[in-house]
Amino acid sequence: MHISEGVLRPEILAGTAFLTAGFVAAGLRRIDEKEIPAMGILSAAFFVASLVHVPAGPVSVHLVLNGLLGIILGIRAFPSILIALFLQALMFQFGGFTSLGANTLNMALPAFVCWLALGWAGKPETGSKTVGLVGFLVGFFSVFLAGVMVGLTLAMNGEAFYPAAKTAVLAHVPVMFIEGVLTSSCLLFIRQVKPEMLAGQAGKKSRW
Amino acid sequence: MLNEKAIDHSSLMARFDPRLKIIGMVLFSVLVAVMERKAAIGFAFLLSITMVFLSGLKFRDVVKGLAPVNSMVIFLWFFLPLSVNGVDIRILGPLTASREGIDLAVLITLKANVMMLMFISFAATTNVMTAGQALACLGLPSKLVHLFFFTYRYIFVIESEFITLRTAMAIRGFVPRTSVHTYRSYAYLVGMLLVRSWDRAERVYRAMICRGFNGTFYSLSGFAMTRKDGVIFGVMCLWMMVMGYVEWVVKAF
Repeated sequence: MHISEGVLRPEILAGTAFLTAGFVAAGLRRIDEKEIPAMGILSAAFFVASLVHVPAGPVSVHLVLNGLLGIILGIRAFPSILIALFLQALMFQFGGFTSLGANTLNMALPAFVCWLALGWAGKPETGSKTVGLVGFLVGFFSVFLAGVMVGLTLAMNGEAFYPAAKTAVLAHVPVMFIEGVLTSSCLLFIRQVKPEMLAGQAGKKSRW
Repeated sequence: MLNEKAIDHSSLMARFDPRLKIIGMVLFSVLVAVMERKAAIGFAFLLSITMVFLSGLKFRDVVKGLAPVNSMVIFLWFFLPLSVNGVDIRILGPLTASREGIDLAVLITLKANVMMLMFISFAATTNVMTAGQALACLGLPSKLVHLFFFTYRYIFVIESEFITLRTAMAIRGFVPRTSVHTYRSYAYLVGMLLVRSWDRAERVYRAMICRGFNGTFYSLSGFAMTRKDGVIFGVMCLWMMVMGYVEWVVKAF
C-alpha cells in the first residue's frame, strides 16, 4: 500500500526519508557496477508485480514480491525498491515524491529483515524442503511486516489515525498467505532452474 | 500494456529546464508538506494549477493522475471524521462526526491534491530518461542513476514477457481462481519471467561491454539554461515565499 502525499506529518516524512537515505547509501556501496543490469531486472519485476492481480476470494490483490527481492538482494533491496517506487510515482502517480522515503522504508526494511533472518537458505546446499518452508516464511513475513510498518507510520501520525492504521494492517492479511505460497514456489523454481541467482547474496553474508 | 508516454514539447513546462523543474517541484512539495493553514495551501493551489495549465495537459489526464492519491484520501475520509475527538456535528440521523476530524480530513485532501497537481505537471512534461539525466546532473549517485535507467528499460521487457507467458497459460486453459494451484502457477510465471529476463540482461550487458561501455551514459542533448528558465524559476520561488508568508507571518487568515 502506497502512502500518498500530504498525509504524513513532516517529522515522520523527514525521519523516514533520513533512514531510507542511509540504507540506500549502504546498499549502493554493496553494488558492483556489473550487477546493475540484473538488479534492474529485479526492480522492474517489483514494479510490474504491483500491476499483476491475483484472485483472493471475492476480490483481487496485487503481488508485492518484496520478500523475494530481499532474499535475492539483501540490503541492495533498498536502492532497488526506491527506484521502482519512484518510477511508479513518475508513471502512474502512485504514492508521491515526499512520501517516497516512508514507502521505501515500509517495503524494503521488511525485505532486509527477512534476508537477515533467513538469507542463509539461498546457499546451494540447502535442502528443497527447507527452501520451500523458508520461502513461505519470507513471503509471509515480508508482507506482514510491511503491513505493520504502514500501520505504524499511519499511527505515528496521531491518535486519529489508529482506526485507519488497523484497517491498513488487516488489509494485508490475505496477501500474506498468498505471498507466502507464491514466494515458496518461486524460490523452489529458481533454485532448480537458476540457482546462481540465489547464491549471489547468500555467499556475501559476511560482508553485508 | 504499458506505454512510453509521448511528451508534447510545445508547452512551456515541457521546455522548462528539467533540473530547475525538479528543484522547483521538490521545494514546493516540501513546503506544502509542512504547511497547516488552509489559506497558505490555497496560495499553493494557485501555483500548482498554473503549472498544470502551462503543461498543456488534457483535463482527463489530470483527473486520471489525481485518482491514486484520492483513493487514499477517500480511505482516510472513512475514519478521520469519526476518530477525532471534538465538537460533534450531526450528518445523517444518528451518525455524527467531529468538526476537528472533518477539518483534518479536508486539510489532508487539499495538501494531497495540491502536491499531486505540481507533481503531475512535472511528470507529464518530462521524459523519464530526461528526468534520470537531470537527476544525475543534480548529483544523484551514478549507480542509482544507472539502476534507474536499467529498471526503466526492463519494465517494458518484463511486462511484454509477462503478457506472452500469461497468454501461453490462457491458451492451455488456465483460469485464475482462489486456489493454491493458481498461486503456484503465478509463482512459476514470476520465476520464469525472472530467469528469462536475467539471461537477457546478461546478454545485453555483454553486448554493451563489447561495444565499449565503460560505466557512463552519454547524452546527445545537453541541458542549457536560458533566461526564460530563470524567470519561471524565479516566479515560482517568489510565489513560494508568498506561501510561506501566508503560512507563518500573516495573522489575518
